[in-house]
Amino acid sequence: MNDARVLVVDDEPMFVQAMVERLKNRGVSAVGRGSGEEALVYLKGNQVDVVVLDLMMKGMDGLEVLKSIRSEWPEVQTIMLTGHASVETGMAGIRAGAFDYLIKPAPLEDLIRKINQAIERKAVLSEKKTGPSESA
Amino acid sequence: MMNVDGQWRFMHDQGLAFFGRIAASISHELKNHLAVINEQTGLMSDLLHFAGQGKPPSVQRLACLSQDIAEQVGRADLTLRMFGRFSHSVDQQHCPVDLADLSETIIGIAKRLAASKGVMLSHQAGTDQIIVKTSPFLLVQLVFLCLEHIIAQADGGGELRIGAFGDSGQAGIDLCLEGHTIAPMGSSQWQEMLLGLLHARICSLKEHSTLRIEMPLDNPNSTGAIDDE
Repeated sequence: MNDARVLVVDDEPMFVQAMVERLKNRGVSAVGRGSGEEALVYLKGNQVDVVVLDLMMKGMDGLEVLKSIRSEWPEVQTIMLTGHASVETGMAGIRAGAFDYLIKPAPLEDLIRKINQAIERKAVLSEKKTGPSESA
Repeated sequence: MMNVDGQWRFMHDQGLAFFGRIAASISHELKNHLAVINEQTGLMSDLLHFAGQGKPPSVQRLACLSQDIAEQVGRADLTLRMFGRFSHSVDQQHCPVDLADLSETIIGIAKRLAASKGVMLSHQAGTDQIIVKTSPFLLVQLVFLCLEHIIAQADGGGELRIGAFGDSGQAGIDLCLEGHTIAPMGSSQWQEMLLGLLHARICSLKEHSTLRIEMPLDNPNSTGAIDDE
């Protein structure tokens, strides 16, 4: 978990700032961005394992950003955040290729558990892509 | 042509669907405010945990977090107040309506929807209070139809100003998206029914950058009745 590189994307700056700091307090290497466009620019120049992505944002919405991530960086895992009370919007994210979703407000422990699961999945996918390591 | 029962049912269904849509949107917005408060109180807990380990946080930091939480509570409260006003618009079918208040309410309940399309809503305050006697709930729905029509055309975003106007005979609400040409609104059964019930009409002003909803100061259709034609 200490090696996890997490990108938090939400158009509410206070939310991003607090969540990033709380993740850092737990040893996660986290950075935040305030829009889908900024997130895609960051992904172009930096290694990221998991993106925590708000579904409804000004400008590019979460599903549009997710499509770009799936297309450009298929190994990067995405956890969607939704403010909708129903599970339908979260399921829409999963159908579009998200690893999982959380309904806001969510306990940080739930998010960290999902981040860990997402990192495990990323490792499995990377192994499948490159083949098992020789030491295995 | 629908009979009277069919028209009442149609009007009821449209109104209920609209109310549900606004309630869902407000619920979404409130959950976002709660999410921010949740993260900030969580961060305060982290700082207290570190304080217990002999690393006290700066007073300035705690004051800043506390101020941020108060700001979120204020924003959530404003949203709820606007939603409360909107909810009461169904109470009476024919009553005095302050058009400036109604404009503010609409901005309060629609701002997130507009922001998601890059449009910022603002209130164009007038000097005089303009009161009409009409159905506030039907009027909100008509303004929303116009609002959504304009937002759909605001390619690249912009500022949409909403304000009341009035004189001795007519009054109404202007929706102005400066620098854009707003295409004429298409016609729908619901729109035609609303215009009929409110005795209102929609026209285009200022080189098509403004949609104006005009109505009489006292709606003669005081019972909200539907004519059986």
